[in-house]
Amino acid sequence: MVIYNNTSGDTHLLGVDAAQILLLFEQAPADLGIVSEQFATGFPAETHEESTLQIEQILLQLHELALIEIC
Amino acid sequence: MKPPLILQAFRQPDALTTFSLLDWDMLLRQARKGNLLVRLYTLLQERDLLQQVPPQPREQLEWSQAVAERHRQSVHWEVKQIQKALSQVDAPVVLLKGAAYVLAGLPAARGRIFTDIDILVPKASINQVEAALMLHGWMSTHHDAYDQRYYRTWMHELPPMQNIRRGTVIDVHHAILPETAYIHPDSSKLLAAAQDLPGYEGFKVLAPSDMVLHSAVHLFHEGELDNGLRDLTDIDSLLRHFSSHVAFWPELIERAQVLELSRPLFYALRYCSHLLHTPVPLSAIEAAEIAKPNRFTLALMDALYSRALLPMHPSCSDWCTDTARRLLYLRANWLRMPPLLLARHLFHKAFISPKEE
Amino acid sequence: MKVSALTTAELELQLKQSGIFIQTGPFVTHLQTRIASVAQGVGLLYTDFSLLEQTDYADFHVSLERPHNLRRWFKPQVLFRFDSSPPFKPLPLDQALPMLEWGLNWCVSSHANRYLIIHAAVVEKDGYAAILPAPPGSGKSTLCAALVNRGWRLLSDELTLVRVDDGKLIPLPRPVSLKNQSIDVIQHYAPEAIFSPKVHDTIKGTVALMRPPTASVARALEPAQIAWVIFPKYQAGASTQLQLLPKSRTFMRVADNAFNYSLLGTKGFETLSNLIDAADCYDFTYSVLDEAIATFAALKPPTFNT
Repeated sequence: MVIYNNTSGDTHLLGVDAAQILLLFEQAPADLGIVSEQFATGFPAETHEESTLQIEQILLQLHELALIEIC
Repeated sequence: MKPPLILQAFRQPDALTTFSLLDWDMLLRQARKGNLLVRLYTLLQERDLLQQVPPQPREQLEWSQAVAERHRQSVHWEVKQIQKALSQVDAPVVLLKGAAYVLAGLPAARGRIFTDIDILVPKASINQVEAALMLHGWMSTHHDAYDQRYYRTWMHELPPMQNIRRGTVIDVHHAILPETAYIHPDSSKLLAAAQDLPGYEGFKVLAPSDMVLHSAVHLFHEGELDNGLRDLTDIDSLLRHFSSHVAFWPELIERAQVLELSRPLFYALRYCSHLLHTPVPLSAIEAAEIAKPNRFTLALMDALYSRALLPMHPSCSDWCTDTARRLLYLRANWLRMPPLLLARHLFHKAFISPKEE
Repeated sequence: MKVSALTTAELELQLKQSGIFIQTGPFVTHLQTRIASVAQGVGLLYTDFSLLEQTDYADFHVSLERPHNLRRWFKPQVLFRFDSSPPFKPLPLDQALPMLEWGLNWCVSSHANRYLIIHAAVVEKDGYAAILPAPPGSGKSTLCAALVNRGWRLLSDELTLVRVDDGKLIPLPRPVSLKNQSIDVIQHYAPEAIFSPKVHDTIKGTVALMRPPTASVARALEPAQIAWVIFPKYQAGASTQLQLLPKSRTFMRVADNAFNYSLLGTKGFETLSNLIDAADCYDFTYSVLDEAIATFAALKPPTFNT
């Protein structure tokens, strides 16, 4: 999915997972718990910890691109 | 002789509706050279006159306008990034010129496209500010040792710093004039009077009078006047906007004296009213005249500025325009530094600094 | 009145005196020059273009001149001026004609922000247009020149103009610039095509300009509808291959090839999204022109899925 950030003026190509997480944030702010609950099942990871770690990394990347803000 | 079309446009925007296609053709050429196309568009838009512009020139105006919204966005974004970079620096940061007009939402921001962001910080904090910016990806653009020393010893700013990822440029000032200039507006007074910028914690803009004075000193101590008319329309816009406060004019005159900037203010008011017909009350004109130069100097300055402030287009030039520009370039350098230093600097620039070609 | 209505001497004189006001796509250019080779080139390549009677307005005022310096005498140069100031450094005089084309491209790509401007060739047949974005050296212009000599309409070989208001592709047919071996390839492929003399040693190597097809110039004010985005790649000996591309990647690649995508901000993003949404996107590798033309002829317009 291609995303345009109208504050930075940058365009990003996002993977499916990142795009879905971003869409979740578009509806309402969320914390790591909520996000991993929503998405954990969709990840090919073995354990809950692993998928949470993957989600955390995606969140950090989205933050880097200023698409979400981690407080 | 009729004044150039670009001046007619700013003096009397309503008269634009009577312009022929040939007039429009020339007006747009002058405006493009002066970096004033977007401002011209704004002028017409504010007066609801766009629909009366013939389609071909309207199309060109719209081309230039298409980038304005993105520009506004990117200024906000860039300031946010600077704010992030400086969040650990415990010092007030004052935005100057274009960025200040945009962030403070002033009419002077409308139709003004610029590339660099200028900030003013206390001299004691400048190293800290530089270090914080470097940590966040801004690098000094002047690598030549002479240039570095020139800036750091004699100038009122760091060499421009460029963001390595975005390519954007920031100029960090600790004063509004070089250390070597013959007048020294006190930066601490400017910082003390600066006003908070809601939504941008730690960031400020100059107080109204100071903003006008900075704009004036910038223009009338500047050697390269490529954007001279654009800068004069900035001052025009600031004056029109701030003059809605009753106390503005007397405060402006008084503040100029405090900051040793009465002479540039005199020129600003003079050429704003001469060239752009900016409404300046007679009392303010008279009060500003305390800084009027002698008769001969004034006649010379009138002759020089009435030429050099126009866009660099053949249609706005006569046989002495080039000379006027050269003389004002020399004058600006003269005001910047004492003669011996100036001679050394120009010599170095001419013969020793590496050439671009 | 068409350029062809003037004799070479008349055209030369007019270019020297008040200049000509020539319509190229949606733009009016006022061109002045005293250089005879440019006048001859214009007469040859722009023969089907309209000259405007009304000479009080132009989008671009340009001229080609010989700069006033010492080199005038031993290594003559040419300078392109856009309303009196030169955007580029001068070039050797024999490159005047290619410089006119580069200068005119610059005029459009750095001003006409009513369009999303993509560095791409664009051609149309039966109402469906193909955009061919590609970095230099990919054989974009060769393929474009071949297609327009086999019934496709030339919209442009360099600048694809996507109108921001409605997403329509706006034609800007002008001479097609061919480089190095492609010149001989196309001269052989379309012997009836008309070419300017070859210019050697430009920054792009040897360059020759091909006159745009008369029918394309006649339809220069007729917009076209996007159907395909195709990234061509000439590869010696390769078999002809058309490979479907995901839209998201195509978007990023086209954005990289656009001059003003970032400048236009949200409008640029929306215009490009709509464009890519309406197109089928492919990577295309070829080595034999006839096979490439056959592949293009067999392209099916995208089916609209809603």
